[in-house]
Amino acid sequence: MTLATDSLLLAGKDLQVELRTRAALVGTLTLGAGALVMVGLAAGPDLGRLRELAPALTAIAILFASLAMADRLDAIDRENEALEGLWLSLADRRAIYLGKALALTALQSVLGFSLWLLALVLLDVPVGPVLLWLPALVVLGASSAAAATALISALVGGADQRTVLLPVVMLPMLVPTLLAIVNGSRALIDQDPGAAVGWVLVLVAETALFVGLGLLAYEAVGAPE
Amino acid sequence: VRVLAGRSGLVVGLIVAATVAFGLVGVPADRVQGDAQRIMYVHVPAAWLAYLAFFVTFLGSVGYLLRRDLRFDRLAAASAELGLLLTGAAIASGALWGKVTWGIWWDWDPRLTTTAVMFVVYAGYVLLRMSIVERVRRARLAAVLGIIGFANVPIVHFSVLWWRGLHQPPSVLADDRADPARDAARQRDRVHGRLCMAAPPSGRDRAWSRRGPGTPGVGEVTDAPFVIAAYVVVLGSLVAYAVSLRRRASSAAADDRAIKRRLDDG
Repeated sequence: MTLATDSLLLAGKDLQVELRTRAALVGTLTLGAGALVMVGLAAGPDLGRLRELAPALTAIAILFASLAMADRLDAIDRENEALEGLWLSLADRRAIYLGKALALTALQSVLGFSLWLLALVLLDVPVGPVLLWLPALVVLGASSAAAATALISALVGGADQRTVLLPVVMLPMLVPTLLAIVNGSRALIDQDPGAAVGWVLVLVAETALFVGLGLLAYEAVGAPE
Repeated sequence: VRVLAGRSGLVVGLIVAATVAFGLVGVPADRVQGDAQRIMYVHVPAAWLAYLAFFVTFLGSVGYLLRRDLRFDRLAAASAELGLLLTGAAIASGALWGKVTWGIWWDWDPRLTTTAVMFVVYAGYVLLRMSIVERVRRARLAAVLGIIGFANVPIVHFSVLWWRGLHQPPSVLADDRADPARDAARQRDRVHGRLCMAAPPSGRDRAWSRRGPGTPGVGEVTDAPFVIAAYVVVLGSLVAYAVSLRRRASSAAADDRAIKRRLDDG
């Protein structure tokens, strides 16, 4: 089997596990929604201010919920020595990385889209025709974050303080992604698609960079203990 | 050479003391920034040594992945710790200088922000090492992070050229160093211009008020506590690190002796 087929199969496996239990998605959605309500409370109740801060607040909520989701998916693989089985059975182990990145992209897109819907209501974001491009931006942001998270969660997977280490190592790597999502969505809210194009390119470049790094480094970092 | 090597600590201490004395007393106050400029004599070396330390970490990480020799890993780890310490010292001394000249401790300027990101990346590197007990696995994972993390160093260095901000452009590797008079004039213009035009409102007001008619220059407002604090931060953190290294070394030696005793006892 090729790398692409293996990756798609593994992504399908992760999605199937999630569809059966819905544990990661429901948990992280609740976490993200809770975070949105909390930051809304902390920064509100001035609606003008909330509207101004909406892209940043939503992006932060999505980011933290995505980290929790990556942690959960990684934990599932490490339970019952499932990762060892995968590691031994695959000819090209980079498929584990690509499969994880694909599954995370799908799940984080659902998460991001749902949280943006909530933000439209809670933070009073004005809806215009250009905002219809937001789902595309959400998917690109999710792919960029997923490509990095799949690598970093493998890197810190065997560490004692994994839950703390993942955000500590991950968040600085996601600075360009965060800036691109915040500024891109702000441009879409302001009905200025031209200003979003540059940020879309940043997301594409960040995705390509982390996929490249992941393919290069996964064999070194992903090996089970 | 052997005498010097044997007393390297003393020699380094004397050189540092002489440099500090020269920076604090021997060099005249800057015409524009006054005594606050003296902070640069510790801030800039701390930043450059941090770059160098992270470069050594990068080399050690590449070396480990190529040779799988744990000596490369130890080199990378030691250098990352030192780089992290020096980055923290550079940030703290820069904040002290910023308070005196810009009127604010911190600004979300590209150089400051990217330096803070670099600090967090290497804090993560050190934390990762602390969280993995098994040596070979720790070395392998840390080496990957040491290579990825080094991407921050050029971003930090070139941030002042790529994006507009409050922080001045590079002076050590500036193109105009061939002409010291022009360099000095440009630096002066940059400081004036940045202080008065680019600073955020609070900093700008303070800069204007200090440069207004009949008021002293920026650096002439009592800067001594800030200068002393910057020297204490940079040098004090290095001394504290040296002391902690010595403690760790003696504790490791005591552990080794205890293990040897236990093995000898059978």
